[in-house]
Amino acid sequence: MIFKRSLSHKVVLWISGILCFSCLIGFLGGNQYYHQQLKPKNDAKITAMAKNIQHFYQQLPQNQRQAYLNSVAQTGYDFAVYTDGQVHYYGSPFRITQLTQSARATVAQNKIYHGIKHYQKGPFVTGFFANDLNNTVGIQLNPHQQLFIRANPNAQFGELRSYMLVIGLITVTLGAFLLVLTAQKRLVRPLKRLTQATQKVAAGNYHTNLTAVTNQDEIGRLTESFQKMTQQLAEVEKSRNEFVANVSHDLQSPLTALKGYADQLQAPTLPPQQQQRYLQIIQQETTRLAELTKELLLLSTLDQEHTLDFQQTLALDQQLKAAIKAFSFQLDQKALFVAAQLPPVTVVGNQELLFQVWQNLLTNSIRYAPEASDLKLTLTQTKTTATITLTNFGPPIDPEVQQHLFERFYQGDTTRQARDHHGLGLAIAYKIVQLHHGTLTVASTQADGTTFKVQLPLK
Amino acid sequence: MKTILIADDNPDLLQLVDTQLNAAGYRTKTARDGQEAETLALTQPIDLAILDVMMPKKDGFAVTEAIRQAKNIPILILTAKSDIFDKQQGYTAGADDYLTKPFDIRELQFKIQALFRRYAPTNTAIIQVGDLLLDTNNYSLQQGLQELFLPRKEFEILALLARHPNQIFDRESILLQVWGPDYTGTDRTIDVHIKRLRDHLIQDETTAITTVRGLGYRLEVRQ
Repeated sequence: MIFKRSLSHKVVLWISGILCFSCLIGFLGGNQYYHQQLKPKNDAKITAMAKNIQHFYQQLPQNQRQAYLNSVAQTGYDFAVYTDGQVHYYGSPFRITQLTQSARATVAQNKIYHGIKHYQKGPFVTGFFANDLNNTVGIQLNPHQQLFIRANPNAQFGELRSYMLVIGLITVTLGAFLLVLTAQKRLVRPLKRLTQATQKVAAGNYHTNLTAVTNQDEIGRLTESFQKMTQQLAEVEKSRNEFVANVSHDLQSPLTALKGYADQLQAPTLPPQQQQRYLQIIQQETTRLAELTKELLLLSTLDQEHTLDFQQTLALDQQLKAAIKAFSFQLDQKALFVAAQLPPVTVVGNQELLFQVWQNLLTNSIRYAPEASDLKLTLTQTKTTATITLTNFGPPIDPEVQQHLFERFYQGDTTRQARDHHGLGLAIAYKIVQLHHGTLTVASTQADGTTFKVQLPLK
Repeated sequence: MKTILIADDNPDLLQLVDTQLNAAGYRTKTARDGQEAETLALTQPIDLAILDVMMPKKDGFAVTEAIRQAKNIPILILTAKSDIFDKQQGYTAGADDYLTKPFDIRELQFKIQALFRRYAPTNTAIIQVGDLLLDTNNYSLQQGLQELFLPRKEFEILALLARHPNQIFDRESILLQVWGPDYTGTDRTIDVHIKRLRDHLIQDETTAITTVRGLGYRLEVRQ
């Protein structure tokens, strides 16, 4: 179970597995190399040795031959000598002593038996180390005696084998250890740190203490984008907190006023004129609250832009005309006149949201336009852009104020009769135009009035 | 006298609108849920329906559709939901206009009057004088490529003069026909409106509102 859960255990398992697999492949490859390339050479070497022994043996007098064979055995060769059917072994004993008939027959005819060269070839047969009497070179010492000989690797280079084995083992073990260590350092630890960081962020702590990213690999990039995401989350959180604080303030102040005037109204001695005045204030404040909640709802809808459809085709001229019609009551209240230049222009976007933009801009313009003045609305298009301007001839907006005009809850006129509104309408319009990849700007002078300009890209 | 159906599940609001419309001279019928509203609208002589969206038993959109299939009367939707996407649904269902809560009761009356005008059977809706094109049903005015949105009284004065080009109207008859018999304004009111109207039509070279000294005003058409 634990192996499945922990990446470091998996790493150890994988590395061990890969090493075992490599060893197997190495063994098979080496063995195959022996079978293909080294066997004939080994055979030739042993054959030369056997011929040497034959030569010496034949030249030695009868009584020294036994001693000679013993001394050859001590130089690292194992062999068997057949004397008229009797067999005598020299050196360390053979594991398999069952010699094939054909081998004996070959040597009996005074030919050389190349047992090493023709030894069986299976992938798992360790030809070089096979301690088998058939894995020998056979030769006739004299018509009565036959010699079957092979080199004894243990006696000849046993220490070398151990030496090589130790080198191999150390290399493999150390390699595996280093691999595991590197994997831990490069993979597991950064991932663990990332996991801890995500848990912190999930718990609302955006100070993750992730060190600066130095490496450019996948994990480095992951860490980097994680840090970016955390920073953005922190900013979103911050602006949301500010927003909530603003909203609370904007809800609190009218509520306080409402409560205050309602308390006053309960006094039995209040003159009717005062009563009327207080009721009027209560009415204004409730209207303001209702408008504010409406716009807050709309803003929250806008913040989830992925749920909105921006692919609707709409006739801007018709929409602008409808927007003015919808405001005919408000326009009439202030005896405002609207001159509109509305050639047919089609754009792609969200119909309801764009309508909201015109509504908000009209609300603002009507609010600041002097009684019985004019509003001007124009619609023009070039190949790439549709431009809408709405001009009112109210008092000019301070350049300082213009900069912040489209911010949420920014209130330009803190001194004048701005009590009945709040700063969301233009922020909403700005956000919607932005969602359409367009721009909303304002220009304001004493002579030319205040002009809001919306530019929407044409696709 | 026109009869208006008001449907809303909020008794306070229902009472408020009912009182105001009665005061404005309309006969009213009230319904507290969608089912009742539909039954009333289909069985009683109703001239206009004001429907809330969120109502028990049947919502305002469903009632709108039911009325639309049976009768050709103006329907105005009231919605507390500020979700602007509801408006689209209202228009799709066949509503003529909408108003979001909270609303100014005067705006409601304004919209009711506009709807009645639009539905009024008349054959003199379109008036053409010179380059001016007036549609008295929806108070729209075109001058060449421009759309001009005049305040209501200015439009009504222009419509009066334009129906009879070159005819002289004295101030009293304008007051009577545009403001009605109950209005206690002065000739000065007319002069102010005429002045503004002239300013607003200043670009039009085919017509001119001229003062006939001692008599009144007339709309001249220049060829």
